Amino acid sequence: MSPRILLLEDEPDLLRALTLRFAAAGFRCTAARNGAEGLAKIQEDTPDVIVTDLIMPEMDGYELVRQLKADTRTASIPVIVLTAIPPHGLDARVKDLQMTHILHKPFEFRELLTMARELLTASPGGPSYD
Amino acid sequence: MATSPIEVLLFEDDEGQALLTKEALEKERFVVEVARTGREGLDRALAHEHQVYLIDMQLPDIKGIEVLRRIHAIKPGVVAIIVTGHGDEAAAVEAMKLGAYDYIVKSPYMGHLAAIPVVIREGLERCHLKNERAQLQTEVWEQARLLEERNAELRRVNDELKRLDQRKSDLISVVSHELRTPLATINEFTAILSDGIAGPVTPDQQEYLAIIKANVDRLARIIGNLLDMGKIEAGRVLLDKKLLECGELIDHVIQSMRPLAESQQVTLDVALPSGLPNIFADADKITQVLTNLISNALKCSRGPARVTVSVEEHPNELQCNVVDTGVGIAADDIPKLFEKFQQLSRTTDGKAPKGTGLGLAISKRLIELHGGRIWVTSTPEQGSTFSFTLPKYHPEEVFKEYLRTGIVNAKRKQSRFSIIVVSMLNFQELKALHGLEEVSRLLKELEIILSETVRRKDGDIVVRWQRGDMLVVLAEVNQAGSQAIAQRLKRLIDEHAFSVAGNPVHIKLGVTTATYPDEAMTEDELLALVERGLHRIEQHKTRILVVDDEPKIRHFIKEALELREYDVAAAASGPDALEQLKQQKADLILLDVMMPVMDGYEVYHLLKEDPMMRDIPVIIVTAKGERKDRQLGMESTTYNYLAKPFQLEDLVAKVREVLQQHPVKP
Repeated sequence: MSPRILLLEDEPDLLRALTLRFAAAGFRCTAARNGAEGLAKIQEDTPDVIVTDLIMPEMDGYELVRQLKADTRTASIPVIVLTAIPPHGLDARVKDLQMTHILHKPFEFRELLTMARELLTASPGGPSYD
Repeated sequence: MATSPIEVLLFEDDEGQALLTKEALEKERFVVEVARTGREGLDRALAHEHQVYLIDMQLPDIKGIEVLRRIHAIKPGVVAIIVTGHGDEAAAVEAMKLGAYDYIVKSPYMGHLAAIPVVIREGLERCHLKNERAQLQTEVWEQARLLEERNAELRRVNDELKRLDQRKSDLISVVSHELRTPLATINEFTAILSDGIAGPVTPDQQEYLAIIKANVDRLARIIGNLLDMGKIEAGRVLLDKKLLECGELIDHVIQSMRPLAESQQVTLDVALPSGLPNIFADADKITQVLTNLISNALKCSRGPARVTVSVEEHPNELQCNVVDTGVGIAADDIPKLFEKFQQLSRTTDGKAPKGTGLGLAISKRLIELHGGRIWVTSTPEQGSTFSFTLPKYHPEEVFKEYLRTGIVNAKRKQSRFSIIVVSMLNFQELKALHGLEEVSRLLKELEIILSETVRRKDGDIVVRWQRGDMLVVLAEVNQAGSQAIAQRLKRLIDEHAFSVAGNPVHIKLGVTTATYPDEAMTEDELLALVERGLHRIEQHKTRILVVDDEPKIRHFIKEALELREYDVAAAASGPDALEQLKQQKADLILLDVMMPVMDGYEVYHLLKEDPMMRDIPVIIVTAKGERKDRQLGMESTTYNYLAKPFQLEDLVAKVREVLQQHPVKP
């Protein structure tokens, strides 16, 4: 079965581009324009991997990840952060929330794809429901 | 003071008094006007500016006190002098309280008349001084007010500048953020098209898409450079300096540039002399500069061509050259080259160069931040050589920098940071014996052992410190960790056979540690702590010689005592022990009895016969039932027993006990 990916990005054009490209790479894509929308989508169908922007209206990426980590059902879903903030501009929350997979815009899609695939294989059990 | 006559208004109802007073004053060149009543006087005072008011207290209409009060009301600060009758001093005192300058008591014999001009002059003088003081006071206040105003203005301007600077930074970061997202979108849709996700693409379309992609990349680079430049200009670039191997760094850059060079049929060469010293620099920044210079060189070369990177060592600096055989630069263009938004003006094929106009300006600032220089020499049509220098580092600088960043990082990560100082305590001794060159070689050897032992983790580093005879390990470990490392180092170094010209050399080691933030909070405190530690070792370490033929026991005792801060030497046999004692005296000897060649008793007797050695306390280590001292006629008071097998605590207790009986002389 093809892997499920949740894409969070407040820029609709970029969100659409990401959806098209991940779909072309064989992913089942779900798109959300902010953290709140993303959380709702996760309730409907748990993704295997999440790609999220940091700065978004309503609920930003930090808050989304914080809530995911706080919930045992979602804590183990791998998250890739895709941000326009340059490396030195990121604050301590990145470390606190253990955001280890970060790409900075403009990014190479190849890199993003590789990262997503690696994370899928790295968590063979996938999300746990216990 | 005014030279014109002083005008006095005299309030006096008594005609005779008035006349006499007027006369007396006029004689002294005063101009006097007389008022017979208070009312009249006050009217005149309103009509004319008198300098002095001479007021009789007994006026027919208004009381003198009241006149005084009104005069002050209409002419504040004026000189008013009271004239009272004899025995009316109470009224005079009241008048003074109301601000009268002075008072004169009428005398029946008119003696007071002569005093009047004097009192008036004094009053005027006081008034003058008072006014002057008030004037000065006003001026001081005015100056203070102006200063305060200027300060406020400066503060305001300063705040405004700060605000503008912050706004500039915000603007740059917002703009870059705002630019990056659409750029990413363009990039993605370009890829969607060129990957054929949206349908088949003709070769022409593919080419145009590649052009879009190339320009997106360029725009991304420009944004990156703008951000870099902004940071540099705002002084927000902090160098993360580390000791780096020059060759490794250059190789790394060359590897990343090779595909581009090959695609342009340019040969990329490296010419490095062997044995280059390390540099102390920020790897990312130097990589950025090298990448910029090499990519410029490639841009200006069209294959088949050659670009060579070379390094030269000079007395105080290393010089790196990037040499190309490209189009070269016109002499007129050279001075502008390192300015912002300047570009190499032409390329061989006449196309506009695709730079950001910031690369060389950024490179220049980055090199200057490192204390180096950057320049170019060029011959049009033959090629250019871009060179930069990096000053050779001073060990002290490296040490300080690592110490500083070590603490900063530990603070940030809320972790521990330790410095472990390894000191060759007999450095001077060895230097006197073998010469500086040999001792330096020993130190180098020591440094290699340390580096190999320590550098397992990133960030751990070995550097020399201050005096040449000390090596410092800086490690991201806690107190226990640093002490474990210290012990491991000590053991390793003790086991290592150092030699000079084939003869073994004993290196007397001092190892001490200090940990942030458990033991010290600042760089200086850490340094002071290790200094104290070394001082203690140097000053007070008691030297114990362990003589035992069994290596395991020898080693065990040595290590156990070293952990308790004793300076321990070991000998494997009696002759070995006697030889070592000739080289360096001990404060205590632990002597095994059962040894081949020469047993413990024999060693003991030889020691006691030697006037140099006889006072050294000895602990005889024997197996149970071996005590033959009586037969051997030894006086049991001069030595001590320790029976094998013994517990560690017994050993330590015995050593302490014996040392207490024989205090070590400094």
